[in-house]
Amino acid sequence: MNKTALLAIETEHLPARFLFGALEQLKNNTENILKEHNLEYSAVNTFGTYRRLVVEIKELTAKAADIQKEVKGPPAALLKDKEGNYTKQAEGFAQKNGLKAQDLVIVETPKGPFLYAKCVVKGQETKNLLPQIFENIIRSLVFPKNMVWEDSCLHFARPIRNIVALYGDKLVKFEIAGVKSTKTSLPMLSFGAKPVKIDKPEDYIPALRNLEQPILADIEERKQTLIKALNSVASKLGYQADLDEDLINETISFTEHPVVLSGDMDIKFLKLPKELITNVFKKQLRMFPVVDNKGNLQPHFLAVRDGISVNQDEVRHGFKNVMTARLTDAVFFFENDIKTGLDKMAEKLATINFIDGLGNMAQKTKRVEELSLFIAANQPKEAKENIQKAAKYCYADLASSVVYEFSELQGYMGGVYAGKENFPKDSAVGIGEFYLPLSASSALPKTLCGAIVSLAGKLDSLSANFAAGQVPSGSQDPFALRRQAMGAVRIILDKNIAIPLNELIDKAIELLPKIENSRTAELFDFMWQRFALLLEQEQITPDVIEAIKPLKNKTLNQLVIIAKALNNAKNSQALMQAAQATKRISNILKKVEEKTFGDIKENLFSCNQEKVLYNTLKDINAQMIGQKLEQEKDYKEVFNLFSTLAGPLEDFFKEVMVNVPQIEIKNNRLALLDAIQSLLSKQIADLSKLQIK
Amino acid sequence: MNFQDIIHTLENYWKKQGCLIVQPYDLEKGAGTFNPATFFGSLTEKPTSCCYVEPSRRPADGRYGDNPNRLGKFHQFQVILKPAPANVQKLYLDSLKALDLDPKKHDVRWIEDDWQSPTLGASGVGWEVWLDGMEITQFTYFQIMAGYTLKPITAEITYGLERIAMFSQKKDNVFDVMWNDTTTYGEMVKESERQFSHYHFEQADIENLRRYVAENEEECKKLCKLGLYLPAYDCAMKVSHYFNILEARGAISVSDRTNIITKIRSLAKLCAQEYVKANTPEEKL
Repeated sequence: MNKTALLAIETEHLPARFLFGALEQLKNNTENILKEHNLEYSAVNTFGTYRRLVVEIKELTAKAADIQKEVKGPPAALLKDKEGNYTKQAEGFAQKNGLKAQDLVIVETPKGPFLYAKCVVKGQETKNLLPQIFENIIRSLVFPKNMVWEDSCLHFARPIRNIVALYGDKLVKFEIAGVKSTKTSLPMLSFGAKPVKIDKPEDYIPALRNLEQPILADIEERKQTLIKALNSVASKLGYQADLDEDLINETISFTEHPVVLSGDMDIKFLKLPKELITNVFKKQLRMFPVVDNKGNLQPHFLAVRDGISVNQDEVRHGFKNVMTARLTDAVFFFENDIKTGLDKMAEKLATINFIDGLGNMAQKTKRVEELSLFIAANQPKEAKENIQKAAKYCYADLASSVVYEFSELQGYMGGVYAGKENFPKDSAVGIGEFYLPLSASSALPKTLCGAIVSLAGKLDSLSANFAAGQVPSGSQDPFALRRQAMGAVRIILDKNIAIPLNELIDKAIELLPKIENSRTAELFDFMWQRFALLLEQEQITPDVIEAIKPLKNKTLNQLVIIAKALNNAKNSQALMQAAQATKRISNILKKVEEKTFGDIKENLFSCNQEKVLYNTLKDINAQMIGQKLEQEKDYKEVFNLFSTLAGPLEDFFKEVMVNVPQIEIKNNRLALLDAIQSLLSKQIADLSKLQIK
Repeated sequence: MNFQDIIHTLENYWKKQGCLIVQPYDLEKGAGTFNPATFFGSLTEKPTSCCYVEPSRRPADGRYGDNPNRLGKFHQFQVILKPAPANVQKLYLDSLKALDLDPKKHDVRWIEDDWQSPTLGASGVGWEVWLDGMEITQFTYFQIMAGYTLKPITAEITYGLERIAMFSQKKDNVFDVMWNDTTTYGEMVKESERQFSHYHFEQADIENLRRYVAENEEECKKLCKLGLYLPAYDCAMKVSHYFNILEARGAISVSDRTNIITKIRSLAKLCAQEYVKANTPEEKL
């Protein structure tokens, strides 16, 4: 009969951040291990707290499925001897597999006929398999960080102190890391009660829930209980709880029974910037801020404790003291920073190292300022001044006390301090936006000022890291350079920065001190890959992306237009014909080592086809001069124009030999082909890269 | 509970658990873990359980006695249990109860905090323990000491005595804590905090300190060669302390810092090697 099985690994306090990952592994590993043993079941569920990782196997079969097995034996000739009796070998082989010699079969194999024993391996009884299965499940769990604590040196996140192991109402007996499995579970540590009897798997959750000090072992139940309690306590105050998802998940990972307490916060703390208070609450105190319906902070706190206490007021008092101490520190840091001022902070940057050989943060700031002005060259005077001011102070808050304590507030605090010092609004907002975007898809700087300085900062960090040889590889990207490159590309596109990518990169590199073994040559490709990702999201095909890559004098926004135009133009037969011919050009030129052909000399043309080709090219070049290249349709025209080369090119390759013995004529023809290639890779797109259907 | 009663209560409690009560080691150190009973005690297979008060000096943390939460010298109460008993968490909670801090009446939270000491070449896994939100204890299962992978594993419990006293006496200012029923903590230490802050931040002679570091390093190496690991380890502790003063004095650059830490770590390792050599049965070496 199918019965439910349960394994509860009860440990000392697991780090809160391990819990969700551990439960996910527990589920997957259990499923895999059951599969290995051919055990059927209806569902595997996991749940738990920081002190218990529990897996429940529903309707687990009483017996593993039988397996059909074929075992290869000796060659078929050995089945019987001359007298027609079964040989000793045949009988022995049959017996070994639980058969009689007459049950053996002969199977043809590439090596000739052999004896086979076809037998059924009876599945073992689940109750006999479970001890090993449970042990294997425990051993299969891997945590972000492991430890040892006893003689067998089992690696686990924290010491295992009890194991509940049941199949139906029977104990599954085994021992691991010096702990014997039991039918009792541990209650909350602080309340020191006796172990709880668990008679059958279905009792685990209710037995713990019904304790005097309840334990909510089910994650979802614990989460809903917490949210409900936060909302109800906040609404009693007349406000709402700031239900931060991460903090909720963290809180249910360090409580077995979350109980919410509210308390007052001195109103004087509300003069601190909102993000600063929120950070102190969430990161240091693990408390929930209280807000009104507009999101404004209110002078209260919601703290969560583990379990019900007879002493709630004293606990509240303790929490309040800690909160007050932390906020007093924050006020001290904040006021200190305001007294110090951004100028002094910016000076202090000279004592903060950036990357060995690439100067300190003050020198980095200077580079970002120059790079920002380079990017902002065409902006009106006032905008330029604001950008310069933002750039001068973009890193200043790194020397502030608040950011030293709360690194995630970098940028934000700079913006706050700039506001207090009456910076022009654009500069202050720009400083606040300096580190945006924080992830591949999150918000970009809104102001042009913020965007330009942010872009400059990222370009400098990227080129400096590449100069120092710190290039991401595989999953290794400790300085988050991929994210920064993606951020830079997104900003360029969002604000239509009218400078080609390679010029931006070159300028950033030019500003760096010279350093040995620099790998900045790889930076363009690195950033191009991020750009390519965005193009692929727009359904641009990879060959089109390759084709536009040589257009180094185009801005990224122009390249997007060209890519879209080319993506559509791929249906045009004439263009594809021309593209086909350009592949030949590219192949011919690739084989030439010395690419110095000199100018095209018309007097050296001897065939009509080359003259026609040359004249068509001249025509195209002439028409391109006045051509407006702004929208997709402009490029459609350019492609049409270029398509006129298709016929002449075809005739050229049909009738004209390029590699002729007369070196002058050969070079002249190569020069003609090179002119076409150069038009493509500078003005249109390297059509030879296109995949032609 | 006053400060001295807290110490006596903890000593009494752990004495009943079979701990040897060791006296503070008479050299400056940054933390109780530097005490030879902890450092050497965790290294070999021999079981040990002991406890002691350990005055700990953090020159850079001094604030001239002006800051209600900061001290350049404070007191740890350290418990060392090897092998770590299976009920060690409960033993700890019962010790809080002995201090009239009943875990049933407070919120006790165990926050992941894996301790490491680059100077000792040591690391462990454990928690900081929060009582109603205040950190009062560091709890560690040592895994590595002086580069040695440990077996059996030692549990180290480090109580922050001033924090516990502030909590127990509901004081916001450490100097207001009662040492006994008539004398405050401030009366006992404030002047020393003031004078040592002046010394550590302004007066300490940088050249002399650098010389002390160099001399003690030499001495340590020399003594290790002679198998005199105990005085050698004293020298290593002195290097560490002078380094801490140099740091408070603002005389240590980033690269300096890494170099000296590496230096101290290799000294600690030398001492540990000699200790292990002398205290491990020959067939296991």
